[in-house]
Amino acid sequence: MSKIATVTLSQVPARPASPLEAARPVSGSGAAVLAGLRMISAKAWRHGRSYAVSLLWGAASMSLLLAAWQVACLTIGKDLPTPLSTYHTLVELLSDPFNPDRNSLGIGLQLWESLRRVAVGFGLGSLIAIPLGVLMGASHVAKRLLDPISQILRPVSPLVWFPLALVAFKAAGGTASASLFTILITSLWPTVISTAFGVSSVPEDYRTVARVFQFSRDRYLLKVLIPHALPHILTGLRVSMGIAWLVIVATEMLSGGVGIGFFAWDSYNAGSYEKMVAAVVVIGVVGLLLDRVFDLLLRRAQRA
Amino acid sequence: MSVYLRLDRLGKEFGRGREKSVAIQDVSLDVAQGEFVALIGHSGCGKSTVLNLVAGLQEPTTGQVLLDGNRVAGPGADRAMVFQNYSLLPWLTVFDNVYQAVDAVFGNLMPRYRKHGVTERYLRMVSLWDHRTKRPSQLSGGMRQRVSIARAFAVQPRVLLLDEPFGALDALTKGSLHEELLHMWSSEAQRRPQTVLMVTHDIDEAIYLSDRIVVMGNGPAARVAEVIGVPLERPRDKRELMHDRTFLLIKERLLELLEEGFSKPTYQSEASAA
Repeated sequence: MSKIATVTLSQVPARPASPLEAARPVSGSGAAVLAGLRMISAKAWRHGRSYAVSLLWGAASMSLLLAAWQVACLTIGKDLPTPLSTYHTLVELLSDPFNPDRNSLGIGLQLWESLRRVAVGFGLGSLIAIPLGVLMGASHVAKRLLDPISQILRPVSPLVWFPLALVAFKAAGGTASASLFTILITSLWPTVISTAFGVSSVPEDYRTVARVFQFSRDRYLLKVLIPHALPHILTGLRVSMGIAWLVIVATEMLSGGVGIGFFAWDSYNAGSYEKMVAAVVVIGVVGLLLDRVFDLLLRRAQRA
Repeated sequence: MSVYLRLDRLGKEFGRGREKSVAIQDVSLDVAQGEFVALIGHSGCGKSTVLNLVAGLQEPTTGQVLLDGNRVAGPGADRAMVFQNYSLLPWLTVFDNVYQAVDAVFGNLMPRYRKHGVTERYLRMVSLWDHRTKRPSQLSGGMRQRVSIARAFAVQPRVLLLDEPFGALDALTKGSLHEELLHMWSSEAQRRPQTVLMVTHDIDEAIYLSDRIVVMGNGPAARVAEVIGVPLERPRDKRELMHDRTFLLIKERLLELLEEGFSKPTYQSEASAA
């Protein structure tokens, strides 16, 4: 887009087109340039407007949440920090996000630690979940064998996985490994299930085309199976990511040390509720942003 | 007539035990090379089953399909298919939908540039070369079917299997696609004759396009009811045909056969109700 824009702009002074000429549909680059410019600006306008509209909806949604929060503060929870006091605390926390002091570690560093942990746990989990899902989607034997296992493991709470993992990883990494394992094992399932569905649901028509036109196994994988399964895989990853981010807080509360979840818990224990709620806000906003990233990927995949 | 494609007492059953149903029974047909044969009949008469057996997508329960003397034992590059619902891969461009088939079939037999050339040739034939970067969802039904036709021709099969290819299209689009199909079929024939087996339930279409029409009886356990030759000179003119005696006679006979088959079950159900 930007490339087109620069080309057209550089051509405009070289051949100034009169409006009359521009209106004529035929000759010359001038008309084409103007038409192009008009198209671009129309697109930008439409784009800008839809952006403004979604911004407005976002603002309305946030106001609703803040109002509910404020009402809760005024009625049931007198000790609950109000939106305003939380805001002040948040600003204060964000003013020095990378404070390396061990006792008042900056919120940015805490967040970074959590994100790193989630990335590793979720990444490893996906590396297991996607092949596992493909296997379960492609083979009846694998499905029969693995489905009951996943059904049993899936509902187990991270609060139980963590101590279990602590025992298991006593010799191998201890707490750090246990946190990662807890994230991995709880966030695995949506990707497994969704991938398996994507792989097993390739329409009969496409499989017939592949058979009639002698597609090799590799061609079938690359041109039929994966393109069909991709949106399902991404949807699975999106849900898994949500769970990983949900679980990180729980594991950090149990494991202690560093991280945004631990920060919330620690603030609660220290009686600084504003900090705790500020951490909750940060957790929520980061969760939203992570979800947006996957939403974007999903849209790109579906458009292709 | 030298036989090129032989359907030898084909029978196909689905399911087993109590669920068992016989789709077709004892279907025999000899087709010469370069012949255009239409299979016509009511829905559920097993026309598509016959086509799938020839394609090698299904195994016959009894009998066999012989192509140039060899038993058909699965799908093969010598037979290509056009489907009623186009069956294009939605994530591939128009070009790639054709190219992937060409590449799959010719593989190492042709250098890449030749495979590109073949793809271009057939996309140009259906006048879709300018639309090659589009995806199927950006095309109309008629255009999609043309991509599908180009794909089938591009792998240069010896037998072309058309499964109600124009069933989902409006009359005008259908008409122009008939012309395009015949044009491609006859221009291919100059290099080597291509045998066509087409399933349809459109009587006019069957007469206009084919050399012979195979009328299937009603299912279950459908058999060939009658085979009608179409001794009309090619190239044929649709408007002239409307008044052609031979055309009208064939049409009348087809209507008779198909309505006979159509009215029988109705009559029976009335009788049993009474």
